[in-house]
Amino acid sequence: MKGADLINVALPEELLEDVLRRVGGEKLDLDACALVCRRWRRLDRATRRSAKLPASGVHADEVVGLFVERFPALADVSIDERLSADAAVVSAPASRSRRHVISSIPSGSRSRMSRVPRFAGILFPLPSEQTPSADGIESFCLTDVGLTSLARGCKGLEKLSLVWCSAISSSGLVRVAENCKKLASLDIQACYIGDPGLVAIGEGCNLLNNLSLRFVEGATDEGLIGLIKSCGQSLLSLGIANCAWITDASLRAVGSHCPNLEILSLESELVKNEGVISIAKGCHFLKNLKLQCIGAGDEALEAIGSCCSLLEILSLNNFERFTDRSLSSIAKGCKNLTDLVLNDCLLLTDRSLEFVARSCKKIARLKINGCQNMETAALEHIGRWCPYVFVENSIC
Amino acid sequence: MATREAGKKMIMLKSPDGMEFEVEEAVAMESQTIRKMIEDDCADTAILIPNINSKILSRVIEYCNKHVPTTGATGAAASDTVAPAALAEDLKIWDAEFIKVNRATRFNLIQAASYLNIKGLLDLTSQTTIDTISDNSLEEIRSFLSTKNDYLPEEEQTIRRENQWAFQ
Repeated sequence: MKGADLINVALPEELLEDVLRRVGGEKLDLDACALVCRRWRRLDRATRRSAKLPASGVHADEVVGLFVERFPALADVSIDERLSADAAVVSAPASRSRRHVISSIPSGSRSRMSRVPRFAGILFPLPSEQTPSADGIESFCLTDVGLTSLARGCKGLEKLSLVWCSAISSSGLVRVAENCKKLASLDIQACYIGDPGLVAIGEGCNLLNNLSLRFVEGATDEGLIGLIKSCGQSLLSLGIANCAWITDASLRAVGSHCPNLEILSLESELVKNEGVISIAKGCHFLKNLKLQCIGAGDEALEAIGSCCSLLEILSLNNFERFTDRSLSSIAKGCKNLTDLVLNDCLLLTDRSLEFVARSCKKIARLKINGCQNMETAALEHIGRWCPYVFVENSIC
Repeated sequence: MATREAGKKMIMLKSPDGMEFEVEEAVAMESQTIRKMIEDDCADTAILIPNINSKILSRVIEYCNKHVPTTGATGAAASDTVAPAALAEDLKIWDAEFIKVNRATRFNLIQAASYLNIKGLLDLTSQTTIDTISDNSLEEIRSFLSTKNDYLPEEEQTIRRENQWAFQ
């Protein structure tokens, strides 16, 4: 039977595509399929949906550009500067020391960093007409040029993660906003992005339902408010962590423009009671709330308790300002609570858990960590009232 | 071949090579394509199934016979009823035996399942085909699936190199 091309003769295009779709999204399997024969490669290229691409190395822009050219149907792309385009052959991961270099350079000059001849020699041939960067300055990580080829090449993009892409800027995001109208999920970590980029995403991507900003620099409340005003209606999930520029002003905008928000994760030192109260008053469908805001206290959680009756998952971290009063109102208002996580909430006592235990019958998972004023009595309450609970705790 | 039983409507399926198969309507309606023909009244008592020879068609009917819900299988919703766990396990074992056929037959079954729109059979045949991909070397895949390698050696090298552009 060797040499006879049975499957390709037997199966027409749609049917082979249907069979190959069952391979799943694993890159190794898809690569193996593409190596079988030309027809399979063509099908793989026309249908592959997800990829994780490197963002460091002098060839990062070209690699992204060429990859996108080959796989125009990509919908889920993650670009990560901890992965090196040059290491593709050397297979060594991007070194940690280099990341250190990046963070020590003043943020404004990031995009002009250039030329560390660390990756000596071209390890695989690339079309010579494509010079590393449009302005002639050689960069050693992904720039707006690469992000622009992604945006123009993959108009069906639904999910984009940019991790540690230190050289991209607002103009790259503007290209994404102009081209990728189906974008539903955007995750930006440790990037330097200005307000215009965020505003453009809001205006261009009306289907955006998930936004996550972690260690994002360069923006202000104005950018986030601009984004939220345009596409707040579609937003279901919002995560903000370690963005030193976020204040209550942004949260007020979330409260007034995101009525459908279900998941909110907020880590900030600048946010005060008022910000959380705006959220509580505006986002009645909130199901999952994670807070690490040392500036907020009892009033914030009382508002959550009285407005967000659908809340199922609550995680409170590093609070030093709220007391048993908070959990009493949560227990009164949030009868659907299934998961409660308390980390380092120093003022809470056993009474808190007694409120929760008596009132939230659906509690199934309870995690307590570093709450020094809680003792065994707390767990006894839980044991008495909540039959389905799974408790995980350490150092109460 | 099914025999006529009281109260059960029978359908005649014809293959292009002239064979005729008499099956219960409920069995034939495991195929969504045939179901549609019957429901739209496009079918008399005999339906010609193009492109599927008698050998493959008889295997397909065997599959449908096994998979048609056994109790009170008359109504349109009959095939939607969920089999209990033991029955499902039994079917799984039966399927595994059923699919032990040569590659040519399996690829023909994929075609037939697709044309006749029998989801379970399409899943079974396609998945069996795909399962050979994950755990085998390229040469093994090519030989298992009987595909012809039409790459030039340098072309294959280029693709292998480009595969390293992406992670995951």
